[in-house]
Amino acid sequence: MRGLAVFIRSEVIEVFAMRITTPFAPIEIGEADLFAFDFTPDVGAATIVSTSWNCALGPYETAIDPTPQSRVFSVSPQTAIQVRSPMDGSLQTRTGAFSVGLIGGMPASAAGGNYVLEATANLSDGRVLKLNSTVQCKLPGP
Amino acid sequence: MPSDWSNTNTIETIGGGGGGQTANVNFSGSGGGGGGYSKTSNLAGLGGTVTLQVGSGGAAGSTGGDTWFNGATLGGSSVGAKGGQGAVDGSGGAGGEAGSGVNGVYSGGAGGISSGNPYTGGGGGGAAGPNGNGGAGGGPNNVTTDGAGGGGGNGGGSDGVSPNDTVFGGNGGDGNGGAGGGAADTGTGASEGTAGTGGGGGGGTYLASYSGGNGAAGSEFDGSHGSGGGGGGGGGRDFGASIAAGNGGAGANYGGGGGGGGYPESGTAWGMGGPGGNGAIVITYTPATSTTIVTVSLNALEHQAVGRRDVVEAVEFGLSVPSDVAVPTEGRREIRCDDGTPIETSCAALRNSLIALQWAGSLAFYTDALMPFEAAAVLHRETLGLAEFACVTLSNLQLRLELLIVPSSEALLPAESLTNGARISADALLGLEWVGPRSLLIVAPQRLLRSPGRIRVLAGPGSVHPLRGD
Repeated sequence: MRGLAVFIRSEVIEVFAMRITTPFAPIEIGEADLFAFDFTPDVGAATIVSTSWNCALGPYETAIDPTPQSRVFSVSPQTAIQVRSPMDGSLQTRTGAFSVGLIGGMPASAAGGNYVLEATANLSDGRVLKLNSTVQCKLPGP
Repeated sequence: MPSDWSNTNTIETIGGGGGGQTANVNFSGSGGGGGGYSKTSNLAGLGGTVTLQVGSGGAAGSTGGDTWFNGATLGGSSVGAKGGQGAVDGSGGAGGEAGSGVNGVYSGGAGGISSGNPYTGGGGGGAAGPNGNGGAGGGPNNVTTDGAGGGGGNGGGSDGVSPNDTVFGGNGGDGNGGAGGGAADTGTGASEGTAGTGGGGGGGTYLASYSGGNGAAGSEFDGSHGSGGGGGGGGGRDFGASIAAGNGGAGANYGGGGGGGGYPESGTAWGMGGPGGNGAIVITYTPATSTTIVTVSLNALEHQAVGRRDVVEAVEFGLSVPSDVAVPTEGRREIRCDDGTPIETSCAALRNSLIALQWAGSLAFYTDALMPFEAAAVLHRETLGLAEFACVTLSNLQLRLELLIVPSSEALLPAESLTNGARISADALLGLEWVGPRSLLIVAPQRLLRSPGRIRVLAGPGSVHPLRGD
């Protein structure tokens, strides 16, 4: 964990970017899907009032994506989402504080590369939380 | 002509009946002829005043008048029937011939003949009618003691009976229904034909010298109107007694011929010939309901093809082009403006309607309407309190309820239920919209990552020593 100090006037807001070591499931060239970070353990009594996402190729990647930020189609904070159970395929509703981004449209030149997706959540109590992880871009098919 | 006259019509005419002959020194009376029958349908071009004549029944020995419609003469009319002829010495009157009329259909029955020796008279001929020719009157055979002939039945009926070697009279012919002929005189007097049947009157007997029975009216047109039966011939008597001769029976309305009078025992008390029945014109038409133009009418009730202006509380059903109408009910294909509280069903183009109720399916254009209820394909402007269902373009609305596919702007208090496509809303206050509610996003479990939950934010706005809780 690494701290980033941001000075605003005489006030100090500590913003930390938390890397989640588990990567997202790979995304195929041309695919678009919802990706979500669950901030629930962090928000406490606060709520996410706004969110933003950053998309970039990871360091030392040889894959090419001239406009990685354009892979973020839309983002939104959510207090509930549905997750399909891997056990029986049923939809299960989860409540909490989520930042959801619609990501996709990776170019063929990015195949094999790893993107870093980072979500920023601005909370109602003024805190700013960040979570990031990686997602591999791969060619279509198994 | 009546104001609601139409070209859907039938006009029927019956000529007047001929009068029976009064006996004279040489002859007992013969019967008069029945009137003919003519008919035309769907006569067009009539209006205003129409000239017509209804033929009168002939007096004794006289011919019945011709009957016609729409013309100064029979020959110049649109439809007309000849009257029956009066009887003369030794000859019954001829019935009104169909061929001599205009649009003639059936001929009247000929009068019965009393020629030569008999003392009794001949029966009158029946009038022709919708069901056929009139029956001929019966006549005594050339035997001095034969009874008088029966009157002929009406159009479609049977001939009167001609006595032969019997002092009794002949029965009257039955009417077009097969019954109703008057019974002959068998010593107590002859009977009239049965009312409503068109039967002929019975003939008088020899010796007793009763009068012949009157013919009966028919009922082809309604319960009491139709072609008439002929009157029976009057009874007579040879010389040597003091009993007067019988008169001929009267021909019935309409168009029956009169019976001939009997011969008296002495002197000049001749049996009088019966008069013929009057002719008739029967007009049947379907009242007109179209092509009416009304202006400045109140509480109008109109049916179709109406062009109107300035009508209050109109009820209309089709093909109307009204304007300035208050509280109308209209059916379809209407073009209106400046109406108040209309109810319209289809294909209407309206302007300035108040509290409109419309429900038919398409292509209505509204402007400046208050509180309308509209169903489909409507273009509105500046409307208050409306409820609409489909394909509506709105602007400047208040208190509205719309259900689907509504492009709108500047609406107050809208409630909209469906936004399945192309809905545009702007500047709406207190809007309630519930179609297309945001559903929960579905995220694959492999693409949902959860924060480990560590404390990472050390300070917020205003914090000086966040680790100490300050």
